[in-house]
Amino acid sequence: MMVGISITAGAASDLFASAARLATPIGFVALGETFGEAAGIINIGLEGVMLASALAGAWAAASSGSVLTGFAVAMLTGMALLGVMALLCIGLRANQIVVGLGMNLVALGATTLVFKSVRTVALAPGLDPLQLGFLADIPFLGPAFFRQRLTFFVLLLLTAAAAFVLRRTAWGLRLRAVGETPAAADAAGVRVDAVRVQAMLVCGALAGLGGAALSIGELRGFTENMVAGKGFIALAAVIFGRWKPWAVLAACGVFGLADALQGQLPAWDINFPPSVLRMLPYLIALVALAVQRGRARPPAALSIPYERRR
Amino acid sequence: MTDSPVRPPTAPPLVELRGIVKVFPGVRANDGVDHTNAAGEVHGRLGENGAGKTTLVSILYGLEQPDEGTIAVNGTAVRIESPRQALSRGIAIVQQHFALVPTLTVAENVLLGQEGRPVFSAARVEAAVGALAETYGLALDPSALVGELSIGQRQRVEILKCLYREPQVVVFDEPTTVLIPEEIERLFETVRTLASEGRAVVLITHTLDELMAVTDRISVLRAGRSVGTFATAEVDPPGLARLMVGREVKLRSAVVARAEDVQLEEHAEHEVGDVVLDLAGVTVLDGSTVRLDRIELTVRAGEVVGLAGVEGNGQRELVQLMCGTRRPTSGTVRVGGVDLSAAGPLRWQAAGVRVVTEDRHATGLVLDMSVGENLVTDRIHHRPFSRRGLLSFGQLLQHGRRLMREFRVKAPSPATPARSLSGGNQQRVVLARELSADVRVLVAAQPTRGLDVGAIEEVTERVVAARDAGAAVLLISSDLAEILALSDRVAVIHRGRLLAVLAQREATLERLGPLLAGHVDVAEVAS
Amino acid sequence: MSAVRLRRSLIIVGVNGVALALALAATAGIVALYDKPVGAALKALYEGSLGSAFALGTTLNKATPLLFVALAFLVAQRAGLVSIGGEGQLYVGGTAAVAAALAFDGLPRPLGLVLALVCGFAGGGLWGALAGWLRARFEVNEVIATLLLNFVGIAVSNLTVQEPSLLREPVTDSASLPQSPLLAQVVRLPRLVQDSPNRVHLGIVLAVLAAVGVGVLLRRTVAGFRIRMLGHNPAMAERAGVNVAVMVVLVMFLSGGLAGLAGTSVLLGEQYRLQPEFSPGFGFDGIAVALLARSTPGGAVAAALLFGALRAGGLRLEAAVQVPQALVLVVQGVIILAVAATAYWVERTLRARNTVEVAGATEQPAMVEATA
Repeated sequence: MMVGISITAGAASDLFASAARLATPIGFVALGETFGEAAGIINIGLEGVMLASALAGAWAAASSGSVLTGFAVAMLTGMALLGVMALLCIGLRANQIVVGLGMNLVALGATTLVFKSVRTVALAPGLDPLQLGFLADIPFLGPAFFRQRLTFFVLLLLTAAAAFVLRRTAWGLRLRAVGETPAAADAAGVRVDAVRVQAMLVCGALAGLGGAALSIGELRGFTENMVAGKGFIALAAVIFGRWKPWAVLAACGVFGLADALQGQLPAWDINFPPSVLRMLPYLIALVALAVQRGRARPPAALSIPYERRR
Repeated sequence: MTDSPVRPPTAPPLVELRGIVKVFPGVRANDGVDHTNAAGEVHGRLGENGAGKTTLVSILYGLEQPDEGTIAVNGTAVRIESPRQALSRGIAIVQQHFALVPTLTVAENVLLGQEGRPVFSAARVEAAVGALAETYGLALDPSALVGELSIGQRQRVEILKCLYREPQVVVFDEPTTVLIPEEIERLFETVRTLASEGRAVVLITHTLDELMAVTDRISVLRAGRSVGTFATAEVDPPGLARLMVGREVKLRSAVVARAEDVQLEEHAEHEVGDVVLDLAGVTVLDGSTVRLDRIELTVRAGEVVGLAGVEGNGQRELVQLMCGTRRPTSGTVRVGGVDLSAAGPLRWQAAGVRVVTEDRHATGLVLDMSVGENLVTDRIHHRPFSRRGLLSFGQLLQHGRRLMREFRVKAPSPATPARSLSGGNQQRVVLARELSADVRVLVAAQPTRGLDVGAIEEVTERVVAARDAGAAVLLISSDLAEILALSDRVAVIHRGRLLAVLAQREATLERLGPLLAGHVDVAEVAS
Repeated sequence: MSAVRLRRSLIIVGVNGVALALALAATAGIVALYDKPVGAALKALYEGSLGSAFALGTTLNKATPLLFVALAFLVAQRAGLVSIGGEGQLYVGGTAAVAAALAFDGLPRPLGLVLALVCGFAGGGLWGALAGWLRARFEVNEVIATLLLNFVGIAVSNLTVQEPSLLREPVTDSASLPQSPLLAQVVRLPRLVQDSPNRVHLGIVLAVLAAVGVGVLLRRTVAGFRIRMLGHNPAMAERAGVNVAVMVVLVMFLSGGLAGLAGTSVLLGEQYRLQPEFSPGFGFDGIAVALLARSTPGGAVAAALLFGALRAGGLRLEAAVQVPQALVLVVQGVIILAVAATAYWVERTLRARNTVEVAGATEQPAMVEATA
C-alpha cells in the first residue's frame, strides 16, 4: 500500500514536470497574444510566427553555437513578422483573421522550403534542465517544477512582468483601453494605432521566444511543421485564461497537463481515450465563456480596425 | 437685449469667441456667433436641435475649425486645432456621449491619457481621484468598474476626467438629458462649485428651467445666430423660450410656409374618425433610465397628431415601440382596439402601422441592397414578390419601377444600390415602401430632416395624403414649423413625459416654447 | 452590365491580377533561389495541374473541399457572421458521413451514399449550429466559438477512430493503425471517368452544384434576401420580422453543413476511410478561397480551382524540378496577403464611386465621440 502511494506520487510529479515542460513554449506565445488581444488584435497566424521563429532560432543557434543568439534571432523574427502583419492590419486596415491565415501558409511553406535547402539546423545546441539548488529537492514540487529548463523560469518571470505591465503601467492602461473602446482612448489623447503596433511587436517578440523555446529549448532542432497546432492552442489558452496573464499561464498548464496525460496514461495502464483529454481544455474554455456571458468577454474591439468617425 | 456682461471691468474674459462662422454644405451652422465667459461665471446656451450649439462647442474644443471669427483665451488670440490643444489651453468638455472604457475602473478612466509617469499605483490614483470626487461632491467609488455604473455616475466620471486636468474652462454639452432629477440637482451643485473656484463654465441645454437654476447669463442661439444674451436674474422665461423657437416659422422655406397656409385652411374641413392608435400608460425603461413615462395618447383616423420635442426625450423609443422592436415595460398600445403591446414587427405591420423612422440609414434602409429590394423588405415573403420562397424578379422590378415613378424616386433603375441615392431620394424610397402598404397608422419621425426644399414639400404632401385617406398620423418632429403646419393636435414630450396635448388652435409658440424647454408652470400661467 | 458594375468588376479583376502577379514573382524568386530554371518550374506546375488527365483529376479533387469550405464561409459572412470553424465542421461532418457509410453500405446502390452525404451535411451543420447557438443564446463571439470548436471537432473525429467500439477497424495486432475500415464501393463517391488516370470523383459536381445552390439561395430566395438583410443591417432585418437568433443558428447550420460536405467529399471520394488528422487544413484554406473570390459563389468556384491547381501542380513541382511543393503554400499565402492588403482600399474606392454627392443634405455633423 505504501509502495503504491509513493509510486503514484512520483508518477504524478513526473506528470506535472512534463506538463510544465510541454506548456512552456505555448506559454510564451499565449503571453504574447495576451498583449495583442488586450489591444484588440487577434492573431490567427501565431502558428506560422512560432514556426518561422523556431526555425530561425534553431538555425542561428546552430550556426553561431550560441543559444542566446538563437533566442535573440527568434525574437527578432517574430517581431519582424508581426511588423508585417501590423503594416497590413493597422496600416492597410486588412482583415486580421485573413492576414493571420495568410501568415500561417507563408510561414509553413517558407520554413519547409528553407529547411529543405539548409538541412544543417537539425543539430542545434539546446538547453539542459537546471537543478535549482535546494528547491529541486523539495519532495514532489522539486522534481515537478524546479528541475525545468531556463525557459520555464523565464516564462514565469515574464508572466509576472506582463501582469505588472498590463495592470500597473501607463502603457498597459492604454493598451487595455485601446482594445476595449478605442474611441474613448482616442478622445483621451491616446494614439490608438501606435499602441496597437507596439502591442503587436511585443506579441511577436514573445511568440518568437515561444518558437525558440520549442526548437532550441525542447526539441533541439527543427522538423517540418513541428509546431503542429501549438499556436492555435496558445490562442485558445488566451481565451480560456480570460486575457489575464497568470490565468493564461494556468490555462497553458492545463493544456500541458492534458498533453502530458496522453503520454502518461498508457504507462499507468489506464485506458482513457487521449482525444477526450485533448478536447477537454477547449470544451472547458467554451463552457466558461458561455456560463459567464457578459463577464468573460473578449476585448470589445477585438479584430475591429479603428477608424475615426468622420 | 443686453450683450453686456456682468463681469469685473478690468479682467479680460477667460474665453472670448467673436464672430464665429461655420458653414457646412447647405447650412450655416454658426453665423456670426459671439460668446464670452468670465472667470467664475456660468454662461448658459439655449437652443433647439440644429441651432448650432454643438458646432460652437466643437469649435471651442478644436474638433472643428471656424470659417471666420476669432477665439481668445485669457485675452490672447489662439487657434485651437485639436482637443489636445484645447486641453493644453485649459479647455475641457463633458461630452453628451461618454468616451469611457467600461472595463476599466473609475480611477483608471480618469488617469487614461494623462498618466504622467510610466508606472502608477492603483491605490494612490484611486485615493487622488477619490479626493477629487469628494471635493466636488461627485459620489463615486474610484475602484468601481465603469461598466457597472449608472448613466449618472458615468457622467460624474466624465466630469472627473475633465477636472483631473485642472481646466480653466469647463463646457457641459447637454449634460442633463440622461440624468434623473436628483442627479441634475447634484450636477448643478458641482457646476456652482466649479464657478466659485474661478473657472468659467459653459452650460449647453435646451431645458430652460435648468438654465434659470444655475447660470449667471443666458444666450439664445437660433438657426446659427446669437439672438440675445441676458443676465439670468433679469430674464423673462416665456420670452426667452419664445426667442428660442421665435421667428422660426418665418425663417423656414416658403414651401413649408405655403404648406402651412394650405393646412390652416384645410384644418376645419377634413373629417376625423374613430380612435385608431391608443397608448395607455406606456412606460419604457432602459435599465434604470426612464425613456417613456406613462404616456397617454390617442390618434384618430384622419387626424395628424404632432409630437413636438427636442430630440432624445423619448422619441426614438416611441418609434421602436411602433416598429414592434421594443416592448413597453408597462402599459398597453392598441391599434384599432387590438392590444399589440406584446406583438412582433410583423404583427404591427399587419395591423397597418407604418413607420418612417428618424434615421433612414440605420433603420429605414439597407444601404447595400438595391432600391427595388428596399421597397419590399417588409413584404418579400408575400405574393407576388415571392412564390414558394423564390423571389419573382419580374414582379420586384415592376413593383420597383411603379413605386419609383409614383413617388418620383430619381435613380437609374430599381437595381441601383440605395447607398448611391441622394438623401431626398432615399427618403422617397422609405416613404414609397411604407405608404404603398395598407396604412391605418402612419408614424413619421423627423420625415423631412436633411432634405432639400422640393423633397420637403413632397414628403409633406404624402403625409397629408395619407391623412386624407383616413390614416391616423403621428408626426414626430423637433421642427416646430413642421409640427404646426401639419398637426390637428400637438403633444409635447420632454424627458419621456407628455407635458401637454393641445388642440391646433391652442398650440401657439407662446405655449409651445416653454413646454419644449420642459417649463410646465410658465405654460399654465401663460394660458 | 451597367457602367458601375463594369467598373467594379474591372477593379476587382485588376487587384486580383496584381495579387497573382505578386504570387508568380514569389514563385520565380524562390525557384531561382533554389538554382532551378524558372521556366521548367512553371511548366511543371502547369503539367501537374492541367497537363494530363491525371493532373486534371487531381486539381478538381483538391478544389472540391476548398470550394465547399469557401461556400460555408461565404454564407455565414453574408449574414454578418465570421466563421473560422470550417476545419472542425469538416472533421465532424466527414466522420458522420463515414459512420453512415459504414452503417448503410448494405442498402441498394445510391441509397447508402445519399444517406452518408446527408449525415455528412447534418454532422457539420450541427457543429456549426452549435457555434450559432452559443452566439445567439450566450453571446459568445462566433469567431472564438468556431475557433475553439475546431479543436473539439478534430478530437471527436480522432476519438471515433481510436475507439474500437466506435469506428475503428478491428484491432488485429499491435501494429494496426487507428483508422476506420475501408468503405465499400457502393458508398464511395463514384469516379466520373471510368478506367482513366483521371481520378476525379462526383464531389466536384456536388460542390459546383452547391455553389449554384448558394448563389440561388442568396440571390433568388426569400431566405437569402433575409440573410443578406441581416448581414447588411441587423436593425432593418429585425424590423422586417427576421428573428435574428433563429436566423443565426440556421445560417450557421447551413454553413457548417457545407463544410461538413468538404470532409465528406475527401473521405468518400479520395481516402475511402477515416484516419486521424485527415485534412491538411482545408478548413482554413477554404476561407482564403472565399476571400479571393470576394465572397461570390461564382468567384469561389474559380478561386477554388486555382488553389486546387496550385496544390496539384506542387506535387509535380517537387518530382520534376526538386523544388519542394511547400512552394505552393507560400504562393497561396502571398495571394491571400495581397488580396487582404487591398481589400479595404477596394471597398472604399467602390463605395466612394458609388455614392452620388448628396445634394441638400443639411444634417449637421454630430459631435463625435472620437476626437481629432
